[in-house]
Formats: sequence, structure tokens, C-alpha cells
Amino acid sequence: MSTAEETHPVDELIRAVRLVPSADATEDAAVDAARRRLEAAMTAPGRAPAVQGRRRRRWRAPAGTVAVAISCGVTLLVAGIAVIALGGHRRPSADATLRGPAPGAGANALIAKLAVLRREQTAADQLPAKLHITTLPLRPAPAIIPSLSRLVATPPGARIYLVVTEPARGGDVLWSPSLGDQLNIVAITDSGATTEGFGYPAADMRDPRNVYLAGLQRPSAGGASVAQRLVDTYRVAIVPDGVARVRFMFAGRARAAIPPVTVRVANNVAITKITPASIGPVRTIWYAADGHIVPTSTAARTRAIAIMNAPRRRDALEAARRSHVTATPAILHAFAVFDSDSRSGIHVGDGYVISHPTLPELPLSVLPGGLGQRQQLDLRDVRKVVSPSGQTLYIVPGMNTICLFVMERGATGGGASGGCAGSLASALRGGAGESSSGTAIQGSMVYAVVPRTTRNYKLQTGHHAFRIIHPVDGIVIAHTPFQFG
Amino acid sequence: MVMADLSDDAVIGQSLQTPAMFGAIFDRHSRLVYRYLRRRVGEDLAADLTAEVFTRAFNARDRYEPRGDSAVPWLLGIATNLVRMHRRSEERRLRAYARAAVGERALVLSPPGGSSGDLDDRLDAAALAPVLGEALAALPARQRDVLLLHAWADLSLAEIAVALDLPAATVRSHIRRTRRLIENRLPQHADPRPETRR
Repeated sequence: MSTAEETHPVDELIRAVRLVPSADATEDAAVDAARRRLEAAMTAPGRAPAVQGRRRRRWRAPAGTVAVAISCGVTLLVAGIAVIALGGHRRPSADATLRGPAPGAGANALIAKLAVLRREQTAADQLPAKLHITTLPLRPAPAIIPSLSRLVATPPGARIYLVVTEPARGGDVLWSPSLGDQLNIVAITDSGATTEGFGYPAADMRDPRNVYLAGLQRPSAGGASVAQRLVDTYRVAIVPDGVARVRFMFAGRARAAIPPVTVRVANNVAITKITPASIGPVRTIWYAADGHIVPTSTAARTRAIAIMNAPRRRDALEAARRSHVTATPAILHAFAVFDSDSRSGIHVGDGYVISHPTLPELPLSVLPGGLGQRQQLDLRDVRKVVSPSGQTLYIVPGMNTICLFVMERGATGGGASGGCAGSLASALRGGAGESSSGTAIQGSMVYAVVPRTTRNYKLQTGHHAFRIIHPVDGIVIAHTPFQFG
Repeated sequence: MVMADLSDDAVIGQSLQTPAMFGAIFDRHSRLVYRYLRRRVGEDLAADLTAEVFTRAFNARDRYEPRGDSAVPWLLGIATNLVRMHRRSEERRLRAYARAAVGERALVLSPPGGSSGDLDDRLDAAALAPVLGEALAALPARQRDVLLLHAWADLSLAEIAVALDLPAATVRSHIRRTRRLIENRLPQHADPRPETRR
């Protein structure tokens, strides 16, 4: 993969001298063991990825401990389940199915909110009869209602259609079919036709996170650069009537803030070109013609996720109730956070509120199915810590460990990430901790629960720089300019 | 569609719907990841970390940003972050190997490109191993990451930038600085160019 100009005699020297004995005989065994662990993770319940925009977090061992690198999958990303389930169409074909001679009542709510659907369909609005659509990520394509396709934009290299699809059915879908038909985008470029696969009904029309990737080229061999692959790729925000402009704000990558882009709405969509720099998550703000911000809401999706997760939550609670795991007294004594036993919460220093939630009050992320089964945690002795800024942590004691969960802020499904100490000894020595990977611009957040013997916590603020902070009740929620890798 | 036809990006995308698909990513890259980790942290830890890399990757696959056909930079980025948790043990290991190499030239040689190479060149390289081990151990962690991803995992500078989520210019500057540091630590008479004498 290296290019000639990137090689150097020092590199060659390092390549030539392997500072480790060759041990191919053990490689098979090591890889087999790793495969078994991956398979366990792939088949574990509740292992679902996060919603778009979730901030990356990585484990970081608290000082002096060997934190178990519980994967990000400890994060039971409930919202992600919903998004994935959204693609749960059961039709096996990847070809778009154009069905239904006319829109049924299911599309009425969408038609009422989108002027583009109320205008007459022209010949240009019609999708080609034989269209092979790749649904991204690769999923069976939804069934498109042909009379409700509209050509909404023709940026260079692409034709972008707003389409209405039949709702997915089955036991694992996010949106109830009773909410009616769903919106989607089809992009036709030289490299084929794509949809992103995440349809949503009229009820979710005011969710500002509904931004589609349109025209993403499927990767191909040949070494094309990212810029070349993204040549015909756009972000498309579908907005209801009354929205005149959309401001796209991009999550900055390390050391490269990307300026926001404001785009005029036409045909109920606002589109912006994707560049390699702006490929990350995006937020939008909607503006009316008079410049006022148009209110948005994520409530519909939050509700839908809660409904969809209800059976899973029931099962998880049941499993938690059956568990007889009890936290070791050494853990409960070592950490001041467990001194607070109020169900409603008590205020402690630094404005934190510590409470002792009941089992039904625990978020799904903390319940069995995620970390609990693996670490033998005592879910009846959990402490919830809420910071003045609203950041919520759950501290969970176990038979041989202590864990810390950081709830995702703004996540609609109660996603969380966190870490556990690797052993009882390391728990008692250093507690458990977690940090966001952060960016050079924004820095990182550090979260930790440390034993009461730790009066000074060393917060890393640079490659070789630290700041001492004094945790209140052993809780550390701190920002650092340092970018954790 | 045949799995072999799908790029890593496509397989990871498909694994969002069908988690088992992610096994293909493991099959394609697990040995490469394991070998990289083995070089950096030794056999015992490498096996464990390889499993952790793929478990983390699986659980974070929704955040995977397609940037090309190969998921290798992404996987090695995760691996490198895990190695950083074991930075001290890696440094101890490098120094231990450096000490072990002194006097006996017992280091195992791995000629570039996998060819047998010229024996003299290989011995020259082995002779420099103690210095190299010390030099690598003394490098700041980030610079060591950059250099070893390049030299041991064969990532291009652009791929390292993806792996470590760093600007390409920073990677370039790291690697320049690191090479200079290593060169300065080599004995004056040493020629760090085993390849050029072939």
C-alpha cells in the first residue's frame, strides 16, 4: 500500500528487523480464539450499532488500573436497533419494486405536508421502469409507489428523486405500518441507483436528523480516491412545507472544522455536496422564509423506539429480576458514591445529584443483554449520577468489578457506553473510567468513578501534561483539551 | 452477490442488516491484524487484542466511514488504540528484545517483501536491532504508532491518517520527525540502507 516516495531507509530497516520471534504455529490458535469471541459478540442479543451522530467513545483505563476493554458494544445502542430494524424489509430482492397503481390512504399525511407530492407527476418524475436499486447499507430495496416519485434535484452527475415507499412490515420494524407510507430518496448516477434505506413516515417529518446520503458510489477496485468516489454524492434533507432554507452543520474531524452550509429548499429538499471532509455526521437547522427557525422534533422517533424496544426491555428486566448477583461489600465500601441511598436523589458537591434507581428505572443499556451478564453485576445497587449539565452516569457494582456507563446525550434510544475494571483488585485500586475519543478542536470528556482513597485524580491535558482534580464522591466528569486516540 | 465480490465497505454495510456478514471482515483481515499486534505487544497479548479489535469493530460498524475498499486502516486504528493501553508493556518488550539481541544477533529476520534477501544485509539489520529497539521504545507513543503502522503494517500515509484520525500533514510531519530521531540514534557508521546495497 505504500508508495515509493513514502518509503525510507529507516522504514526498511524496521521492516527488516522483526523485533519479535516468528510464531506461525500459534497464529492459527490465536485467530481461532479471536474468531470465537467475535462470533459470540455477533450473536449476542442487543448488540446493535448506534444512531448517526453518536459521539465516538473509547475505553480509557483509569490511572493505575487495567480496565477491561469491554467493547463499545457494551453500549447497548437501542436507537441503533431501531434504525437497523428500519431496514428490516423482508423482501429478498435488491431490485426496486414499483407497485400499487395509486397511492392509498397511507400516503395522505405525507402529501399534506409536502407540496412536491401535491403537484402533478410529470414524465421526468417517473423512475425508469427497470431500475436496479442498491439500498445503502446493502439491504432489500423498499417497495416504491410509482405515482408518488418526484424528480426533486438534478445536481451535477445525479438525478435525485423523492419517493414514497410502502411501510416495512414484521415484528422488528421501527415504524408501525399504521403510521402510513414512508419517504425515501432514490439517486441515479452513472454508477447506478441507490437509496439509503431509511424510510420514515409523516409522523417523523419534523425530525432534523432525517438527512439522506444520495448517490454514494459503491466502492470498487481500482484505487480511486475518496474524492473520486464521492464525485456524485450528496446529502439530502427532506423538509415539510414552510421550510425555506436548511443549514447543514458538520461534525468536525480532527483539526479541521468544516464551515456550515446553508442551502435554499426547492421541491421540499435541500441538498449539499459531500466532500471527503464532510463525510461525517451532520446536523440541520431549518429556517422559514422570514428567517425564523422552524421548530423540529425528535419525539416521534423516540416514541417509536420505546415502543419497539418494549418487549426487549421486558425481557431484560425479567432477567435482571431473576439475577441473584450481589455486589461484593468491598466495592460498596470502597466507593463513596454508594454512600448515597436516596431513591429521589441527593445533591452533593459540584452540583451532582446521586440517586439509587430501582430496576425498572434503569435504562435498557444497563440491563442484562449488554454488560450485565458478562460481568456479574448487581443491578439492584446501581447509582445514577447526573451532572449540572445533564450528563448522566450509571455506576454499577459487581461481584468482582465496578462499571461505569455514560449515557449518550441526545440519543433517543438510551444508548450508553462505558467501562469496567478488569478485576476486583484493579477496581479497588483505580475504579472504572471512560473517555470520549474527542477531537483536537473540542478536546475530550473523561468520566471515571474512583475509590474514596483517591483524593487526587490526574487528568491528562496534553501528551505529557496533567492536571490534578479532586473528585467529589469519587466522581470525575471533566473536559480536557487532550485528544484521546 | 458473491461475498468475494464485495468490498469491505459493502460487507460492513451489509453486516448492519446481517451481523454474521461481519465474519467476512474477520476472515479477510484477522491474520494481518494479529501479526501487527504480535509485533507490537507480543504473542500473548496479541491474541486477546485481536479478538478485542474485531469485537469493537463489529460493535462500532455503524460508525464506519467508507473511505475506500479496505477496512484495514480502520481495524489497525482500533488495534493501535488498544496497543496504547499497553504502551508501557510494549516499551518494556522493545527494550527487552534490544537487550536480548546484544551480542548474539539472535533476532529473527524478516526480509522486506518476504524474499530471502541477502544474508549480509540481514545480519547488518540484525546488528542494528538493539539500537532500533531502544529507539522505538523511546519514541513518543503517537510517533511510534505512525512509524510502525507504516513500516510493519505497510499502511500509506493517507491510510495512517484515516487509522489514527489525524490530518495527513500531521502524519507526514510525525513520520519525518520519527525517521530523523531514529537515524540520529543509529551508530555513525551504520548504513540504514540494507536494500540499497542489493
